[in-house]
Amino acid sequence: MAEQNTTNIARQGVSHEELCERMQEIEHIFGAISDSADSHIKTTCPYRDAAQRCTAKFECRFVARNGPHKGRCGWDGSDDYQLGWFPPQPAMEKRI
Amino acid sequence: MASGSLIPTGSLRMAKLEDISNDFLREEVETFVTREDERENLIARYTAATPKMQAIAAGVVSARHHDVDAMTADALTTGTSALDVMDHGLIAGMALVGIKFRDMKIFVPEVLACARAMKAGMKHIEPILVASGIAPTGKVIMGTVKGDLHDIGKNLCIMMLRGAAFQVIDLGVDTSPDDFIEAVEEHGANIVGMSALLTTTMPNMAKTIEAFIDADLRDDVQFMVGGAPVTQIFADEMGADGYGDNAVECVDLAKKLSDENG
Ligand code: B12
Ligand code: SF4
Repeated sequence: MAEQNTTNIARQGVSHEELCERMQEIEHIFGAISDSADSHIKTTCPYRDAAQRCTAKFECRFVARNGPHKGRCGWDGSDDYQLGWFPPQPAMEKRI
Repeated sequence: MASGSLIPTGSLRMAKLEDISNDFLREEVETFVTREDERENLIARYTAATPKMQAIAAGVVSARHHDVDAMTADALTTGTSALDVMDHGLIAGMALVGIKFRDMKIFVPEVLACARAMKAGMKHIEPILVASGIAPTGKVIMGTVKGDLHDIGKNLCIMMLRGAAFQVIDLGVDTSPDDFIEAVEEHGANIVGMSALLTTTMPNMAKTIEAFIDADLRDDVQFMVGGAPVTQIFADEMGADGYGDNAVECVDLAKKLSDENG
């Protein structure tokens, strides 16, 4: 397949410059996506999809484990979503 | 960059939304693209595309990587030009994905899935890029180091690297020095990217570099490192060849190292 494609292209006479332009365009799109990701993760859990399902492979405390909403993200946006990712901190008094 | 248009303005002809023959794409543009300049550009792009190219774009937007894989292969072998496949299929689809993500209509999981679909198509373009002397710019082995399970940042870097035509071999998380060595030997890669998010696992980056020295392979590869607690100073101390603070820097760094490799 690879060889076939290359022959095809040679026949089409696609120029180096034209391909470079396309690669720059792709980089531009992915660069913007990376910027968006950096800003979104400050307010939205990166594991939450558009249908509010949790896609994390670890057991977040916010995820619904049973019932009709099983697998759904239960984070309500009030606290930091990362609180669900770690076991609850032992209370201070208990440690003293 | 986020506030700028995701679609470069070009000499695209004026067209109307109704002219987009692919129902899915037409609805997507109508529903999700609100900025006038972006809407005009996408409409022009999609109306200039054949139904086959529109189907590829739709496949990227709906993250159907098997379909994009098959459709791209078919288009290239039946005479569609690589530029056409990129302009009116893969790039056209990914541009819409970027807009939807920026406007929070889709989220990280969907974007990663769409990027995977685009990658499935780009796989067929790679030989063409190679033939034209462009890409792959280099082969990069990426992994989160031993003892560390954090991979969101690494995955974003990989997505960016692939977007920039690098061939990336993803070793996942908890990657031992031996795993890195094996991967380099197996794939003949010249760049190794290591990610660490824990202060306790950062030393494993240095240990990996030491393992390459012991195996007499240090001169064959260049190391780039990153992850929230990693700094330029730490990178220098461990003898890495470069440090990147984010996914964009990761690509710039990989390009620089790749150029140095010749
Ligand atoms: C998500 C997360 C988790 C998830 C990870 C899931 C996953 N699949 O990744 C889970 C819940 C599993 C987890 C577990 C743990 N975590 Co954690 N986790 C985080 C958290 C909240 C976010 C990390 C993240 O994804 N950031 C977003 C991405 C986009 O950023 P990034 O990774 O930095 O990547 C960017 C750049 O650094 C760069 N980059 C990254 N890699 C590379 C590589 C190269 C080559 C280059 C050039 C650039 C580059 O580009 C990326 C994109 O811009 C951080 C806190 C934080 N705010 O950083 C804690 C954090 C890293 N975790 C922490 C801890 C302690 C743990 C646990 C030990 C908790 C516990 N008690 O069990 C475990 C350890 C598990 C293990 N063995 O790894 C601590 C680390 C403290 C320290 N100083 O070491 C942190 C800082 C939280 C805290 N404040 O205490 N964690
Ligand atoms: S359940 Fe937890 S990990 Fe999953 S999406 Fe919600 S906050 Fe994120």
